[in-house]
Amino acid sequence: MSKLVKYFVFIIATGLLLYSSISLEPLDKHKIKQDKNIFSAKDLAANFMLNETSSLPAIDASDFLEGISKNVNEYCSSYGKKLGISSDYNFIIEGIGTVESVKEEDVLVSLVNSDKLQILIATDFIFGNTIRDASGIADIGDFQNTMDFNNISVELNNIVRETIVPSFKQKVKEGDTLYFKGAVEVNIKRVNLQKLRVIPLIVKFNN
Amino acid sequence: MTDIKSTLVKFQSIIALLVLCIVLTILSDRFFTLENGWNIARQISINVCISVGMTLVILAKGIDLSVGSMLAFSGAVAAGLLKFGLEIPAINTFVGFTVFGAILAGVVVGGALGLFNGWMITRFKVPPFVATLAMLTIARGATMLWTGGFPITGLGENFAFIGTGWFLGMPMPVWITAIVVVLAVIITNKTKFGRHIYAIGGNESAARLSGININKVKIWVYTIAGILAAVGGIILTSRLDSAQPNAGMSYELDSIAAVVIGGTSLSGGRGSIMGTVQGALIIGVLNSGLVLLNVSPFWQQVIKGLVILVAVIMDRLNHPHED
Repeated sequence: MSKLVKYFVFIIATGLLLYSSISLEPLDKHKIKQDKNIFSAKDLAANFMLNETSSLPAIDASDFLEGISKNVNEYCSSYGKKLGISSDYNFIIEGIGTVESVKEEDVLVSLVNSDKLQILIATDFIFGNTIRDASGIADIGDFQNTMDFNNISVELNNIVRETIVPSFKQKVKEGDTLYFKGAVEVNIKRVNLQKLRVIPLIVKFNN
Repeated sequence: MTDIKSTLVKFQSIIALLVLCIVLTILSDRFFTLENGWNIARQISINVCISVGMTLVILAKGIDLSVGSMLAFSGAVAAGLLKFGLEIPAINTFVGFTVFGAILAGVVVGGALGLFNGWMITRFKVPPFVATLAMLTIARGATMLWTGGFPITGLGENFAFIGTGWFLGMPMPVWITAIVVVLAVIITNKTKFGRHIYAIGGNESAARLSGININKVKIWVYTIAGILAAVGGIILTSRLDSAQPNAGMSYELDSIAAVVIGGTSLSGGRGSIMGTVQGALIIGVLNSGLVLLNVSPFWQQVIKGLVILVAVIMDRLNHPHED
């Protein structure tokens, strides 16, 4: 009799353990659900660049440069976005400026309504995770593997490289006034305010 | 005089730890702070978990080189099951895992790998060094296969609580480690199983003749080592919020170092769990101190190696008649 009680208790305990550990579902139904959620970095990036960049909150470029030149650590930790324990902080900034010089890899812009503040808009070497991390387009926690997460940056950079930069480079000339919105990365361990490069998301000429 | 010497020998790990703490407190004003204390406690918690298992193995005159790989595989299994679940096409079933279920599965996997080690060593008389060396490679390969070589990330806040959360003013990893240590101290000091471990390590033939089921004890010892490696793996995975395919590399060496510094004899039969905890603390304090003092990582390795060497030499000098 006592053996029977022991078996009964064992079965109940195992049942409770399994009940709190797992959930069962038909595999075919699960796969249908999963297929609906197949991730495409290309689609995500295209949708972002097409529909979300204009409404993306951005810091005024003059405020950004002034704030960062006063206390880079404090400014970055208050307003910047970063991934994990990285020392790279990312920002979305916007501003209106006058083109001072046009080079192969960047365009130097003097910001209007500011005291000699200048910033570079990148037209070459578009790489890294700046747009992804500055915009907050994706959270690493939502990704099954880091490759998908990294592919978002690849696709975003491709769009900038293949669509935004060529048309910008074609039109831009010294003396132009333009509005820009873009992503910028600041590494708090090697700060060089003169070399900050904005990766353009939107560029509009005012003249 | 002999009394003083034996007292010094008995408390050599604690004395070394105290001296180390005093020196580092003098050299760095950031060392003796509550924050750094919790940092050290959190950092050593994983090493203590696996070192407790290693102590049992070494007390039974064995060695387990596979704890780092078992740690990685168990952590990866828990993370994988939690994140992706398990598909069983043969019965058209998908099994989803809760946090509790995933942890349980990770621990079971660690225990099964340890059991396999013990079985190889007792059934086929494979030397522990070789059997666990083989498991080191097998478990690492299995981890790569399971993860596809990529980290498994984004395991959720509930899972992250195990490695990063606080409970009653103490970090969760420290709670888990404290429970592991208390249980291990009770097992080694207060149970028949614990006495059998010491007996086997002290003299295996005598233990066999006195009726101890050597194989059973050894299999249990390796299984416990596997389970504790899995516990370490789950803490690590939770702390990082990611299961890394190369997690736990060379952790076996850190745990052997903690055991040896703690005064456990590599010849088996002599040592204690608390000694191992002290050994892990010495390594943890040394690591923290060297980082705070800005010592080059290359020198850190040299210094840690020398500390291990000194610990073993002192042990040999204090026990000259042991094998």
